[in-house]
Amino acid sequence: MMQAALLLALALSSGLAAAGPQPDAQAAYRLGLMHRNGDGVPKDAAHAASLIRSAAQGQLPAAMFTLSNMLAAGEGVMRDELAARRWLDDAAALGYPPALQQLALTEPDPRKAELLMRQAAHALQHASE
Amino acid sequence: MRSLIPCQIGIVLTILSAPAIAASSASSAPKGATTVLAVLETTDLHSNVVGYDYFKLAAEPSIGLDRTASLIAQARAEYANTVLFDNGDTIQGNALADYQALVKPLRCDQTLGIYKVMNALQYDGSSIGNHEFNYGLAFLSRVTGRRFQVAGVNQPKRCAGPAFPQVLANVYSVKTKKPLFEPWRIIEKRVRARDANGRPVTATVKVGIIGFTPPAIMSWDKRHLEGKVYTTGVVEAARKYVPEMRRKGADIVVAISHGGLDAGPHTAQMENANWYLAQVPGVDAMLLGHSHQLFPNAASTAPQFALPGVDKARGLVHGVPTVMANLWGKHLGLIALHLRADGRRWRIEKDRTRVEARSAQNADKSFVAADPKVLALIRDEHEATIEYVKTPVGSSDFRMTTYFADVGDTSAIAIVNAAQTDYVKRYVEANLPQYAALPVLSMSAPFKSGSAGAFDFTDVPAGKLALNNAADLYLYPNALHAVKVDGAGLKAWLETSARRFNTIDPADPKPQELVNATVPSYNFDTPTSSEISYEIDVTRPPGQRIRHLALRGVPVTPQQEFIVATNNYRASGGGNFPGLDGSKTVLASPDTSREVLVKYIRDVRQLTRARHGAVRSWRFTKVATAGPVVFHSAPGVLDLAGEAGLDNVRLLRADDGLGKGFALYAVDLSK
Repeated sequence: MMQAALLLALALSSGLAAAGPQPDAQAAYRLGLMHRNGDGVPKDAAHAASLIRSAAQGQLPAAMFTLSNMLAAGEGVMRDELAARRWLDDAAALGYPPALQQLALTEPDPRKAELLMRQAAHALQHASE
Repeated sequence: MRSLIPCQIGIVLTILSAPAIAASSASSAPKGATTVLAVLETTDLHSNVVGYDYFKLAAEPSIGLDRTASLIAQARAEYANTVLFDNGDTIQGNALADYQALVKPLRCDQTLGIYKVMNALQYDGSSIGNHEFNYGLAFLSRVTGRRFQVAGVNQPKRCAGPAFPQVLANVYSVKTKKPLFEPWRIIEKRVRARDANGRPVTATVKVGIIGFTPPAIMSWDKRHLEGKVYTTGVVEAARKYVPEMRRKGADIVVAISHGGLDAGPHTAQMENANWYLAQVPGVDAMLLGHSHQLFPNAASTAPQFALPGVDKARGLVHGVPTVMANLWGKHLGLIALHLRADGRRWRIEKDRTRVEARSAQNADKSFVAADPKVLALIRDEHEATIEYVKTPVGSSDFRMTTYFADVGDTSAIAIVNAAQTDYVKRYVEANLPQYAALPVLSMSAPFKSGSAGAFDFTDVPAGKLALNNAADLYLYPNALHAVKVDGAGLKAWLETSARRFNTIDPADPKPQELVNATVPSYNFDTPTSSEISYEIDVTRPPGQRIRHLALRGVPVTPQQEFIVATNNYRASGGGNFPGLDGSKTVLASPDTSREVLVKYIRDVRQLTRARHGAVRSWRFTKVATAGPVVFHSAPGVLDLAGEAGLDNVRLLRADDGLGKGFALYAVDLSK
């Protein structure tokens, strides 16, 4: 198991190998996270949200998921639960494991929840290797 | 006269194969003849041969090839001419697959369970998905009956393999520069047709199949594939081989492509290249998979299905009939092609093509009946897998439960934290020397705390622990991740967890509910380490409750750094904990949290309460309250609170009166 662990990449990116995201989405996302957390740059939630939104629009699932969190919490943006859900659904549609898990955890129908959790399990195998 | 010869042979064949029809025959495509050929697809079966959950040890009717088999039989009853293909991701994905690959690896003379069933169902061909590579090339070589000419694989003879052809056009051997599998195959399918005068005839349709897998296998299974095979782009492979298939006489070309749709800029490494594949001349139909979607699906809101050229209602991509049959045998894909012969070959009457994905679930939510022959074919493998799942990996001298996790019982959490801490400490030692001096903590949560009812708690009895118990203790499909946070971040994390509780007014004489039911228990992260300690003061508002946070008795400073083991969900932003959004992650393990737990239990073998079930990092700040502070848990389990060392819990009512089977307990915050 530890040998397998030696193959790890440091997870500073979304971890997805899909060809989908636009090339500059990742850069926008990283900068957005830096502004969100005040990591080496001034903390600025609104600017962070703007950068993360552009990364999400560039088809980066991790950015979609974070933007969903920010919209649900009203962090740097107007609180908007419907938009939060849409971005969560989009991230899940692209097979982003935390988004599938989030949908599973909040799904009232146990059978649908089970399906989503299994999809999260499956997606994880693509994302983490 | 010459033309009569094949006709006479055809009559003989017809009499042998379809005696009910008085028909003439032609060897290929008699001019003016028409027929309908239904192309059937399964995809992403992931070794779900029968509908069964090997960790719950219970039937699971919503999945399984045994139910798809019934859909296949229905389609064959409906259409005289069918070809059946599987898209891939067939041999991996559940405990049965692991059993046959890792626990008791398949012998060369044996056929893999799922292939046995597919042989019996008379599949005409399949492609290879990315997960086929998960167990390595030697295993894949053995189970597919192909002698790969690649480094590290020495398959001295051809093994049993499936009885149908497997095609894959975009994976090559480094050693030979040749495709690992045959890239395409033309299947000469005998069909019932009608001649130009409407009389029944039999004829042959040459169905060309070509397979593709995502080029990203090279990163997903790097350890198995690097230096041994290489990939080409899906579209590039199609452009190379489809014209060749046409030249060799394919009447129709069916692309069996393990991928979905993506309109991002085209690259050779594209994972879901089929929006582009549909534009390659000569591709007549596409059977897709990998992205676990249902297509056609008029109701879908998936952005991939709203792309230009995609007709999600009729199942067309740039006019090419396309189907994706979901996953795990839940659906059967069907493309009904109406063919008309022009004297040289069959041509598709495109406007008559019909595409559908048929569900194994009926409109009334029931499921189609499983075909009992499927289980009969793999009964030995199925039962051996169940025994494997029930095999002890260790034992425990205490019962691990979450009935009192909200008030401090760590019996079902501490073992997870111990396993995660152990894993991350070893990893940091070996790979992250720059963090060697940092304390390693671990967070985990009670995953089940009654949200679905009084039965819905983790409860693993003392005694032998098997793989299915590990699945109870680690419920979610997570991977182990670790983050680097500072003292302020750690405190913020614990504050967010402590939102699990309502704010208690010590002066209120009325009963007060301890737990805020809107904050789920899976977001109540706690460490269970004797090194870290803190209090949760529930009399304070959310965000101000963590007090006396200390490491080895010394107060934690805001700048102090920690490595914290957690999971991919939390580390990536699940639950929206402050600062956790992927930016703090220093380890993203390919190992699942459950695998980490199982390995730890195997290593430790004997779990004791003192070492693995009693350590607490937090306590409630002591406060006397005028009225009782109450919470709900299962009835009849008060003794477990005592066994966990909680002397401040008492039973108020065996039935809390709310009709869901819970008992009402009180916690004395002054103790």
